[in-house]
Amino acid sequence: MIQILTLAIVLGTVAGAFLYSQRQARARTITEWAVGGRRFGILIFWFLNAGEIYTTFAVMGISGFAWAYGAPAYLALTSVSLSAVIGYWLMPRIWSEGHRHDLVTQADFFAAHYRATWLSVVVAIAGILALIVYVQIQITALGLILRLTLGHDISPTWSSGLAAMLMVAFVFLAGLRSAAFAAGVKDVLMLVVVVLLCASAASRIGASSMLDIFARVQDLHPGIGSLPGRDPQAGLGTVWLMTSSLNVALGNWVLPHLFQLCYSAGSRKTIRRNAVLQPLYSLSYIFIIMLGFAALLADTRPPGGDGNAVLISFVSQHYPAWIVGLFAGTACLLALVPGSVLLLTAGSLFARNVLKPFVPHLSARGELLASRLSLVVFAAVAVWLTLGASRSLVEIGLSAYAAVGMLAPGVYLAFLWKRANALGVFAGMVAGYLALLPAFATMWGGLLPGWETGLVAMIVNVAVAVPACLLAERLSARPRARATTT
Amino acid sequence: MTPSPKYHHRWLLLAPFAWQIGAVPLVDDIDWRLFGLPFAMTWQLAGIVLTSIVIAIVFHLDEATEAAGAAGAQNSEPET
Repeated sequence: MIQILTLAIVLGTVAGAFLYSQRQARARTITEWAVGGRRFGILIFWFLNAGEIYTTFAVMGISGFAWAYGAPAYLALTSVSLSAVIGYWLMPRIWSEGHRHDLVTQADFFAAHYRATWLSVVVAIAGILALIVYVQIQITALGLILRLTLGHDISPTWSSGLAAMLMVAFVFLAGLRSAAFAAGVKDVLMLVVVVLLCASAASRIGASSMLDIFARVQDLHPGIGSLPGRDPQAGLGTVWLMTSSLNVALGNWVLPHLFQLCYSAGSRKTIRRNAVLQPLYSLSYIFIIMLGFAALLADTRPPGGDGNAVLISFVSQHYPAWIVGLFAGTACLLALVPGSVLLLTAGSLFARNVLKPFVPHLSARGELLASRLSLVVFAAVAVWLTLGASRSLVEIGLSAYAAVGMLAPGVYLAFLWKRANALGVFAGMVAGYLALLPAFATMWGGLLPGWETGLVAMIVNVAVAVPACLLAERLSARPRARATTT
Repeated sequence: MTPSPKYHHRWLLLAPFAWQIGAVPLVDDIDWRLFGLPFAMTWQLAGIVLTSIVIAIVFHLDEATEAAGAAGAQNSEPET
């Protein structure tokens, strides 16, 4: 029963997305494939944006976090709204410049603004690495769901591999347009599933109402509603929440796929109007957190103590088969849709900004082919990473933000400081990545206890980039001065 | 980069940060439960609504400013 429903949902969405994209023009160029030809109006843009919020990180990661720690899950409540504020200021700028110079990817932006193709190659590689880490999240989650629906006998290797193959197959259906359709389906289903799960959650675990779940969990686990939550040793205190929230807000639009999403909007007004409503989507996280608490009250023990599987375990133990099937199918979409957008972005970044600079005569079709082939490779790398690591989805997510955060100063300086240049930005990036190395972790822990490492590295990045820009400027000016005097 | 006087309402955009990040240490210890919910959580939920309102206000003021700017086509104010 569960399998049938799961399969039905996934295949149904795939078929629908395929048909929908066939009705639209066939993708002939990478612009068409990657940014949907730049014609998305407010409705589609809204869906894609809302869809970005409902990812596996959000649903499984946050519920798992609430189950394991409690108050630190409030990160979900701060990240979206503050990202929207920054997005309101930043995204129209990205859009304007994208339109003016006909940009397709994030790396294009760096090449155009800093007039340095070499920098865009570096940025593309950095972006691809961050995206692969993000894909790892989706594959981890999808693998867990597959093991739930197909039986626990399947090894992690197989489930991850299958997850990756499903994702790649999903991507090969005309790119961004099918993702938009699938995102719409995903959001509707997600709403239905959350309502179904929450409506009966209280009665299934012996509480009198949804609010009662919160009351009970605070009575049973005093202090869970406040930081640092259940596990003071985990280092998730007030400083952590403040710095992590800031890090996510600043880094959000620097994630390559969200950066490029700006280009697909029809106008600046579309972007701005969307920013108004965006924070409100995250209100629904209260239900995700509630489910995590409900799982805690029900004494849910996921296999291996894996926080990521808490929601799956809770649902499969307490709900009838048809709801479990509905949940599993929707959760698959939660992983597949964002995952495919991520792979798509990585592929187009590779073809256009890593390969093309070295093969200038690459045709448009060749570029498309290269991006499709490379994304298969990236999916494989993500699988390999999944098998090696075993961290919570939130931790992996934060490390992806940390990695991509190194690109943030380059983006913000581009709009805030006319004297920012390629060499300075690059120096900042190098310093930032060095600051992220585990070797420095203890030093930051001592100097700035509780601070999220990503934010520290971003600060180091800027602190180095600014003087480096000034220095680079001075160095490039001198030979000219000498030339005029002699 | 300092916005022209017409864009001073943009400073409102700092309010969500003050509420949702700045206030975290202050509200963390408060034990009062609103509807049974932890206070720190209700604070953030309120913060989300506040943020939407702030962005909406700034959006409307921006639209008004830019419409006025386009109407009075003398100063070619660069859109920020």
